[in-house]
Order: sequence, then C-alpha cells, then structure tokens
Amino acid sequence: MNVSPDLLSEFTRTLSAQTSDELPQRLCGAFAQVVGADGAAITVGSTPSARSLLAVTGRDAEELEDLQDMIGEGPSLRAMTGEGPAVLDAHAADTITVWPGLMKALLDHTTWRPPPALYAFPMRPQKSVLGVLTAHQHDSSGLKVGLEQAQFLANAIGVAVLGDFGSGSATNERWLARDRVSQATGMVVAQLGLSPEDALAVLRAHAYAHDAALSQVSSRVVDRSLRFAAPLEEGPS
Amino acid sequence: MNTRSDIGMAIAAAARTMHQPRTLDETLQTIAEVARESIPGFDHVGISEVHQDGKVETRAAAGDLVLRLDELQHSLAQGPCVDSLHESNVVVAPRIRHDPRWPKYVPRAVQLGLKSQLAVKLYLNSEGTLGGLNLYSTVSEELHPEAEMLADVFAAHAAIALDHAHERRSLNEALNTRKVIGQAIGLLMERFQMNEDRAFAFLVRASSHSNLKLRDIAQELVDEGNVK
Repeated sequence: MNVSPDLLSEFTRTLSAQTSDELPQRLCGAFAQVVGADGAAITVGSTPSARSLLAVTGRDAEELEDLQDMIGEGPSLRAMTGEGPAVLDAHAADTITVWPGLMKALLDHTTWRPPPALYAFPMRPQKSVLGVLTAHQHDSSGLKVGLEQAQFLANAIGVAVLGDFGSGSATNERWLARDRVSQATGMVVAQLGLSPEDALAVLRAHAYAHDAALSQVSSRVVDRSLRFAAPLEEGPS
Repeated sequence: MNTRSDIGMAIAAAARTMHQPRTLDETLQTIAEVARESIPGFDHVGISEVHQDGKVETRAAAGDLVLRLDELQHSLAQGPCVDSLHESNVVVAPRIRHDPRWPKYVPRAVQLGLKSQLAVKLYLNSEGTLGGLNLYSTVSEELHPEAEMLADVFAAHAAIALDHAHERRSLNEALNTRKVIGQAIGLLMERFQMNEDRAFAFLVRASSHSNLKLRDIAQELVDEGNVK
C-alpha cells in the first residue's frame, strides 16, 4: 500500500490544531477533517456487547452510531468483522438490500435529507480489530482521500487509542464507574425488572422515538428527570 | 505520551511500521530499526521477549552489539535490561562506566564499547511483562533529554505487536467490565436512592468485604436485579 507522507503530516498538523483535552476527541476531529467528512465517531470494542462510544464530533455522528446499534446493522457494525472498510452510499442501487432496516430509518429521519453517506473503517493496527472509526458526509460527494489511505489513518489512530487506554484509563476505577449509558441501563433494570439487554433496548427505543441521542436519554435517567416505571411515565423529551 | 507532538510522533512511528501486514519478526525488526533512526544517541537497539518459562529471547536487533550485550546481561543476571524486566519499568544508565549498580556487567560491557544504556519494559495493561526494548550507545555518554519519552513510544508499539493476540481480549474485557460496573451503580442508585459516588463506594466496600472482584460483585447484583 502506498500512503503519501503528506497525508500523515497533514494528519499530525490537523491533530495539533484540535482544541479538545481528550485525545480520542482530537483524533476523531482530525480524522473527519483530513478525510473531508462532516463528522466522525470512534467506537472501541470488537464485539457488539463490548462496543462503546469513545468520541464523536457532534450530535449527528452520535445519532448515526446509536441508530446502527438500535437496528443492529450498518457499516460500523460490519467494519467490526475486520474485512475492511464498509460504506453506505444512499445512492447505490444495492444499499436498500444490504441494509434495509438502516436505510429505512435514514430515509425516515426528518433532518437528514438526503440520507448521509457512511464510511466505517476497522481500527486494526495488527491482526485484531480494536474498534471502528466511522465518518459521515451529508452531501455524499465522496471522501477527499481514498479508502485505503483513510484505512491507514484509522489503523494509526487505533495505536494511539490503545496507547491512551494502556496509559491507565482502562484500569482506572473511576473511569470504569462512569459510564452513563450503563448506569441508566442499571436504573431501568431496577425500575422495570428487565434484563440489562432489554433495559438498554428500552433506552434506545426511547431515544429514537424522541429524536435524542442515547447518551442524552441516559443522562436524564441518571439525574432522575426521566423515569421508566409501570405504567410507563415519561418526562417531556 | 502526554504532549501533542508526542502523540504525533507516536502515530508517525507506528505508521512507518504498518505499511502492510507482515510477520511479527519483520514488524519487530522494523520497530527496532526505526527506533535506532529516531532516538538520538543510540546506535544499537534490540527488542526481547520474555517467554512463559521466564527465558528471555532477543527477537529483533538493529546493530551488531545487541545480541552480545543482551546475552551478557541475562547470563550474569544483572544489567539495565534485567532490572527493567523485574523491577522498574524504565532503567536509565548514562555514563555507565561509573555506574556501581551492575559490578559484573559494566566492565565487560564497557570493554565492548558501551557508553550509556536505556532499558524499557514492554507491557500492556494487566498482561504482565512481555519483553523489553533495549537501547545501547557506543557514541554518547549522556542521554538525549527526549530519548526516554521517544523510547516509551516505540516500546508501546512493540508491546502491541508482541501482544496482538491479547490486546483484543483485554480491551473487550475492560469494556465489558465497565458496562457491568456501570449497570450495578445504576441499580444501586435506583434501589437505594443513592448518588453515583455513594453507589460506587458501596460497590467498593462490598468488594473488599467479600474479597470478590468489583466486576464479580457488580455482575451478581445485576443478575439478581433482573428478577424483580
């Protein structure tokens, strides 16, 4: 694979111009900018149960990940299998047959017209997939760099993400405890007596129905402004 | 790996060794060579692996003194490499001829031309010691101020290369642990109307009283919470 050294130096330049304090956040923003996308998301983990959102550039990127998790299909999930980049191009003829559920949800979505294109890259610096980097683009004009080049950056970002994990955050007990979505899941387990899987599905469905991100709904459950109890009683979205 | 330029270098360094899939030995050899080019002052760089039985094997060597100096330290059971594997993560030895820490190793190493040495342990999360990145200088008595930081970057990458079978398992495990602990905290917050900090403290206390891991306590709570 030929990767231009310019791409790498552009990436490191863009990275140093990012203002966030969080490394994953800076990597995510720099990636979106360098590949010419409107936004991006980094998820870590290579099984559906482990998959966790690490960084997003904004609301759209987050909702696009939530949507794929809820529907259980999409490029981000496909990329976890490690077979290479997975692309959803709303204009391609076979998209509706490859991802029927996701395409329907994207077409139904009121604020995304036309549906955005999704480019998902497994972060795979060595043999195994560490997570997925997904970029989206609203006008589907195509990425500024080739898929191979973007994949190469995704692998390099995987090394940096893993280094950040290894430097202590993954073993830090406070980090382990502060997962809003899981806390909200636990609260719904207690409220409704459901399994964690079903409780998470309730949260996802609520987020989808109210056009909100899963993380927002979770925060409202944790700060007790939203409560699920039989009979279902919902606060204003 | 804290400042922004360090991260940039880490990525650049990693990228240079990732152009295509190749064997582990080729990857390690490239890391050793790029480390020798990039870390000022070190003209011999090696990567060693610690096997299950405790034996240390030199997996990659850039520079012809690596094998001899590695072997000397392991046969004498002393030297910066040995200390970095067993005691501290990083052993810094500028002006090694005056260093009293390794009385058997130093005279022989100096005879071979060694002036300074740096040894970094390769490890990843809870997987224990994987090996070492060993840097030898026959050209400089002093260590460049950035040498240690740069060595850390290469060590991190070598550790990933050596540990690729484990990396995915440990990452997924950490993420699943995080989810279960989060769920248990949410459960406690709801059931006992505690805040997050109290719930976390409760879990930690329960874990230390019962001698169960935080994760196992959390799993038990979530499994029970399921049946209302």
